[in-house]
Amino acid sequence: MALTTDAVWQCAWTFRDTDRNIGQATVCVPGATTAANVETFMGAMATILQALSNATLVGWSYSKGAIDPDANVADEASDSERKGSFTFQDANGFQSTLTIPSIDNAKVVDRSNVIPLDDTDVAAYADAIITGLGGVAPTNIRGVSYSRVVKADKTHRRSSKG
Amino acid sequence: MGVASVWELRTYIRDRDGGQADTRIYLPASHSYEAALSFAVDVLGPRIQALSNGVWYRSLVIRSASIDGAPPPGELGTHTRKMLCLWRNDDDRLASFSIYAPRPDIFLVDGPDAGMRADPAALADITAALSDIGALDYSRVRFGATLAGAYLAL
Repeated sequence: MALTTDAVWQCAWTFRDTDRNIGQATVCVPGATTAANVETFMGAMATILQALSNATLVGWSYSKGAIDPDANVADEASDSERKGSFTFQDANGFQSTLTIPSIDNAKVVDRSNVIPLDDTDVAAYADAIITGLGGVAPTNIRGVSYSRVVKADKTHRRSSKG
Repeated sequence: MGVASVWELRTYIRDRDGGQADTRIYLPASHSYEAALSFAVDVLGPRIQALSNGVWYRSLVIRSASIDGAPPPGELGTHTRKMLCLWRNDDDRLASFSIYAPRPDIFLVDGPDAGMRADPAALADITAALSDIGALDYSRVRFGATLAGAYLAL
């Protein structure tokens, strides 16, 4: 796995008009720019753009990631619509489902759709979501940490492309 | 107005037949970009790959912010009205940027382009902001400090 960091930050400001249509203004920023400077730029541009538009600025985002341009061809049995669906519960009792595309059939108990939570790799994934690593731990969309995994099953769900 | 932001981590998986999907989690905004990217690439990606027989080929870190309490849009705030702005750089190439629902009062009031061409003075701040940080358009053309023109595009 040889990941290459993106060459640019992708920046977008999202507007909503009086008829509730959504539109975006987008630019790229050189990837060597620090995240702090991009954040400052996003805020400054938000003020500038709102002064030029009578739609309402409702949000903005910037992103940069990493890609493996030479990624291997996937296994013949792979299918992005066969998901491993993990239901996590947060400290307030709210549940949300995280999915892993093309769950390996070897991780599913035969004659069931159950993904065993005591499997070493499954436990490592669940622990990364609940406990995190290196002081970084995920949250749900509400910003609340996960406290336990409720269940894990194989399901079939549509993919963005596939 | 308040701004609420969060890190969103996306891990992309591709299958044998070109199908692809991603899985998404969130991190508190208090983490640095570097910490978020490291978690995505060094922690999350390998653990997801260990469970999938698709191929993990991309991780993306997105800082997204929502703005609460923003004023309602003006009656003319319809996104079918756009303003296409063009800047010329030192290589004599044009970089473009679109602004949705431009305010009517930024357009020239006299001359043959009245009501269609924006007053360059209204775009002085955005010209400086894009040029100063070295921004590029989606064709990777760098914005220059010279505004070539900004026109209403319906």
